[in-house]
Amino acid sequence: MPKIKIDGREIDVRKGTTLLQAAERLGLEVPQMCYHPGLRIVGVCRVCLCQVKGQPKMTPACATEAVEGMDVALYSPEAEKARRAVIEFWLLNHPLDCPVCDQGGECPLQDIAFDHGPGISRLADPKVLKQKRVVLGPHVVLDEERCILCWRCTRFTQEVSGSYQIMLRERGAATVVGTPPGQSLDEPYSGNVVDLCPVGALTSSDFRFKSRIWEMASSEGICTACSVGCNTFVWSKKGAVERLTARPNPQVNEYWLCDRGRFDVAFTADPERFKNPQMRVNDRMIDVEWEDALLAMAEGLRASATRGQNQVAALFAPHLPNEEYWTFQKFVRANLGSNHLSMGRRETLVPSRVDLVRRGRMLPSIADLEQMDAIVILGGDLERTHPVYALRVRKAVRERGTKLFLATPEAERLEHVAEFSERVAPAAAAEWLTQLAGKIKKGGDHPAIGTLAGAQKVALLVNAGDANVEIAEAIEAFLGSGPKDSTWKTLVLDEGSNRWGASLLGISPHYYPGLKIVTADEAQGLKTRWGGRVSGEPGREWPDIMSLAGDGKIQALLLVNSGRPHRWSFTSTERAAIKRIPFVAAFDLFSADVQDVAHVILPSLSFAELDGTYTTADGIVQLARRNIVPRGPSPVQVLHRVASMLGVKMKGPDPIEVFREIAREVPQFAGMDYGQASRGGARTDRALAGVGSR
Amino acid sequence: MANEKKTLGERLILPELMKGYAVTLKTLASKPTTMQYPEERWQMARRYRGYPKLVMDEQGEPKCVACGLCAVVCPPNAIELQAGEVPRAKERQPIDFKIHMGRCINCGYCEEACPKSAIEMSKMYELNTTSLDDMIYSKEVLLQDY
Repeated sequence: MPKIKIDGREIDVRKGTTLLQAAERLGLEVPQMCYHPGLRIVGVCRVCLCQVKGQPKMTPACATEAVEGMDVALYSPEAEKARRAVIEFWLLNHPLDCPVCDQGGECPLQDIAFDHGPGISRLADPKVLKQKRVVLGPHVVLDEERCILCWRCTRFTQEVSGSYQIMLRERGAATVVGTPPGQSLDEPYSGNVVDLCPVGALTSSDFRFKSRIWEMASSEGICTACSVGCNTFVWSKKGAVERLTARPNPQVNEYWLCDRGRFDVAFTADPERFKNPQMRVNDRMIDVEWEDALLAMAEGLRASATRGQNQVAALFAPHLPNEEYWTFQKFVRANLGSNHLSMGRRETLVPSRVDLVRRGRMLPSIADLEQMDAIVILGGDLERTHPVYALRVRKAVRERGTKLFLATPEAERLEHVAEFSERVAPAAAAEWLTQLAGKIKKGGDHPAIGTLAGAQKVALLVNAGDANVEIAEAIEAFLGSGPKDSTWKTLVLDEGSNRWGASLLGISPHYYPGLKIVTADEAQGLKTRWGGRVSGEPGREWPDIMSLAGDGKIQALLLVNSGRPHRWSFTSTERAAIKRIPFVAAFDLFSADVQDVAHVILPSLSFAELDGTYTTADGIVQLARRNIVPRGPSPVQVLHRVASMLGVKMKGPDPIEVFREIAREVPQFAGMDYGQASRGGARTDRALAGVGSR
Repeated sequence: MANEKKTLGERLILPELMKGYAVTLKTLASKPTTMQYPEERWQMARRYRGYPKLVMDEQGEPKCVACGLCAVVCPPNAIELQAGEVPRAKERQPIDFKIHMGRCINCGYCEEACPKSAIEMSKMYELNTTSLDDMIYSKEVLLQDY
């Protein structure tokens, strides 16, 4: 534990700590530009120069390791003078077009020049002029003049995303960043360089000149594009989301977002969004008042609420907040007495999957990938479906030397860092995995066996879309084929950002909340707690529900979507079956699918208008805050009103009250609250381990 | 006061009447002070702050780069603007610029905050309209000479 002194204050630091980190731990502000905790240290900006007693020259604090007995001066007159000179160099050719620049207001160059800079310019000659508008790729535009050459963008594409699509060209004052000749910045993570750029050199073509920083309201959000659950800041102006930026969370997304999630925000202010509730009158959808729509919905459900069990079905989009899933499933189970709760076409919560969970076979955290000896990815391209997880895989390969094996249907970018890759179609994935397991056990011929046969820690990422369901048993066989005392884990990645949360909360025909199998006994237990008429008979999966509907055995259907656009893409037979259902209510943002079949459409809210928690694929529950005040009620509020019209009292409608109920009722969520869920997220894994004994 | 003692001159009335006529005759001969508004108008002082206006550059384009500093400094929140990209050296220009003159308090902060001298206080002080909406000046109106 080296003990060092910074500006007269002593501190004990761990070996390997840099002076910059030590100074920040002391609460000292260190001017910094090129330093970024997610990137390798280069020490090129020179603004963190400090004086170490006994050393003849200034040394950059970010790139100097603390050594026992160092006496560091961060703010001595000499250090400040050196810093002033560095800033003067930066500003020599910097255009100072702050009023035009998108970074104005959140620019470290502005702040540092203001706090430590010379305050005047001694430059008599004209500045070096460069290109003001270089389109680097589909999302990024470069202003060469503003660049101060901190290398953050080049380091990102070299180290983190591995695309090598930004590099430095020319020498001296003529140095510019840019793409290699003939290439454009089209990797799936290009938006991160805009976040990283400390000045306004790299700007997002979507956000460029749209808004000044102080005009927007920002809040902590969770990206709902996939189940990674990246932490974001949501920035909005006048009721429209203007941009998303990454919010660091070491357990989830580190410092990164993918382009798919980052740039998919325009729909929040789309004029096509449903503004008013709609009702079908004479086979045409017309706008109606909220009160009328709620009454119609209560009436439509009242008929089925009193009849037998399993007469109502509900179909959910896979990206709703936990609070909505809970409220809807409880309403449908307790008040409509039905277990026909379905998540998409294919039920992913199958017994073999639940078994994996009960035996503790799931990867407890995606951050554990960094400790793996080998990672096997089976199914689709991780960079397309769960891009930020792919960055974690790259990090493991880069920093630990983890061996990566791919069995995917198409060529992909991750192949460049993979030890071995093979073309396997999703339909053949289960067979491939079983064969591999057999070969590992009995000794066979496969390029991966050399590594896998002796590996203690192996992670299997299964990403085969709908085929995930069939793979579950093969996963068990594969995980069991490891050497003795090895810990082989898996993570099954499904479509949708909160599918695992939905599974835990009982959006399934076979399982009550908490992964409890639907039985008459369990139903009795729920009935005493919830009241109502919980059915003990399992519901059906979506295809069966559709055939029941075709036979006229379904009295009402709820189609629930909120947060982001979702296409139900009903087939024509499904459409015909749905048309036979006497009452169809849809919560949606916009969808021609529901306009065709619904009797009542209730506009639901975008992700920026909802308070709520989301569960990541590895089981972290994270809170997203509302950023925009919505024009109408949230789906939970709507359901609350409808329930009270039907004479039922429900918890809520405040999401926090709903979440308290979830924490009380669902073992995996036990003890959680919004505080935990907002501070980096609360883990469901501890409770998951206890599921088996329940 | 009814019982106040009056001087003899006052009681005679006539001398007082003459005094009054003298004032009238004197003023009749001098130049009138009343200004015949709206036919005649004040020449405003150089430092007078009327309502703000936008300034054009030599190319006939607004000098404004839509940095939004005037909007953020404006005490009554009278300014609203939206920036947009233009294919010129300046890159950025307001695609929409509105000032609610009914709200404006003529403080001149916008002029002071502007880094491009693109907004200035005009000498215009007349807002008479029949509708409140007319007081919201659009970019086109603000760029006119008034």
